[in-house]
Amino acid sequence: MCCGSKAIENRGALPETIDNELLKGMLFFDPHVHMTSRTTDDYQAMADAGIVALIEPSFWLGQPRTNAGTFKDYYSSLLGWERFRSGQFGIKHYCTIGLNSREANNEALAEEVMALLPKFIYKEGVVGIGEIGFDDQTTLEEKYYRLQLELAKEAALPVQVHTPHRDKKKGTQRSMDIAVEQGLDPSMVIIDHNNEETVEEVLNRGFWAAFTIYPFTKMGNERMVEIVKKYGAERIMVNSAADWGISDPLAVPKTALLMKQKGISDAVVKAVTYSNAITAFGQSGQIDTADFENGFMINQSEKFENNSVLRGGQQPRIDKSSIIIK
Amino acid sequence: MFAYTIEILRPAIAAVLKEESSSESFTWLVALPVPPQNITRDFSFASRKFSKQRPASSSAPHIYLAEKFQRTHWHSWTILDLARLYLLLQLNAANEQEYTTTIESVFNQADLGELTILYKALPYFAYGKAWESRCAEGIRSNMGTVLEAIMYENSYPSVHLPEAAWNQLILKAIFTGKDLGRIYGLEERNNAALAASLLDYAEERLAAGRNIDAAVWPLTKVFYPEKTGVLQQRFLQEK
Repeated sequence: MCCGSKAIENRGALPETIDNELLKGMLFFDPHVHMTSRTTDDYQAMADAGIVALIEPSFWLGQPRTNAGTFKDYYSSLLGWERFRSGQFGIKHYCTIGLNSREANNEALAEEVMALLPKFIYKEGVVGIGEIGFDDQTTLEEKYYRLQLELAKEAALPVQVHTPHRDKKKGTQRSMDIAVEQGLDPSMVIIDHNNEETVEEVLNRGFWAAFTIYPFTKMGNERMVEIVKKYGAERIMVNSAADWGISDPLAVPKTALLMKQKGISDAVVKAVTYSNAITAFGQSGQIDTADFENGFMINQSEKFENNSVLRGGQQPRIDKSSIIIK
Repeated sequence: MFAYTIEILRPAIAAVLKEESSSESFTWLVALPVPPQNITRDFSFASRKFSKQRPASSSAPHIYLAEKFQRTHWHSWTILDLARLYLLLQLNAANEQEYTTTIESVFNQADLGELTILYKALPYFAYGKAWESRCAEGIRSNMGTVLEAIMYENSYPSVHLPEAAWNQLILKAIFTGKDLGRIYGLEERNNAALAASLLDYAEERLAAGRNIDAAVWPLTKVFYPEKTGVLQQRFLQEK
């Protein structure tokens, strides 16, 4: 019998719905969410829950791509259309650019994608190289992980490291070992998808520890509360990694609420659901909190005659409680 | 090749940039090889060097620029926009094929801010005719910033677009709620086909119980005064 987790399985006393009153005045930054796979309903719900900015890492689209052109268009869409779409809902969109571990296993394709990367990583709002790292932990995955770490160093960009589902502990250690070998400063590296087994070493070695609150397969947020109680807020951040699987784009605000309910201080909640991610990825020089902390202003660079009241372009809201659609 | 005097525009922009950016950033820009060897990268990298603020419009270089090139609304250009235009002006335009291929490649992997300035810069590209289909492509965009870059205070569309593409621009502008007053050439390019489409659109709006931008009536009235009058009345009655 172990491990004290029975207590947190007792859900009886916990809130079952989001209380928007409690969320008032709270701002959130989700540093890992794949909006390309999400709907407009998600964007609206995220904005309503206080998410003001997010990072969309480039990743695998669910099936392997067969040519470099689709990577090019994918990167362009993260920087163009998805950025615009997010802005329409009042959420500032950043992204990380990289070759994900699964597709690193197609060497011919990986070579072509590597040649594309320098053309994208210097674009505005690219806050890191990511998500990169290990999946099956193959030789090719290691090769392209190392090459992309070099690229990150050259561009002075943070790195967002995906840690594997299988053989996680070893994969996480190896990811950190290699980053250090390649000469990266741990403070520029965000190790993602941590759990109770990996967090201690990640923090002790000076890396950032990100936690993905993702139902069934990764962390639940009751476990997250326990982790924050144990390790505090320093270099810890929470994300949703919401994508095309059963996942929750409100994972960050929900976890914040749960932490508050469980007596964690507002300062700690803010650090792990907002400011730590900004500090870590802000090392790219690409995040200006003035762009979102007082409400996101769509289309700022296009203001006419410096007319700052212009908030146009945001999507009109529909009344979802009505069966009439106008 | 160029429909304006590039030898005046280039130094005029450089003068504004010199005033408005750090000497380190300005030196980086002017020290790049001419023609640029890695335009796609430098075009992006410029965002790390130049601000997205607007230059002071009261400075002498800015006043000079605005006087010399009056068709462009320079007040809506950021310092970064100007730096990117400067880079584009450094391309070697001697060979049309190479020149257009290079700029197209910048378009093809541009981010939102880059797309916006590329479209705003259309009037300053060499070989004006060569950009018709690119401009028409931009009008098909659903990104509001891109549409505004083409539609607002941009002299390219009215000078170069064939009638069908021009009509698409106006219809799209109305459909997406743009301010027609900021589109150049509205009267000069008005035509019967556009007026007929606008009247059809007005009828659709009426049937849907929706209002319409009153700026369409001067365009339809020229060709269909009676029908315009009837429809205007019906909109008034609906209210």
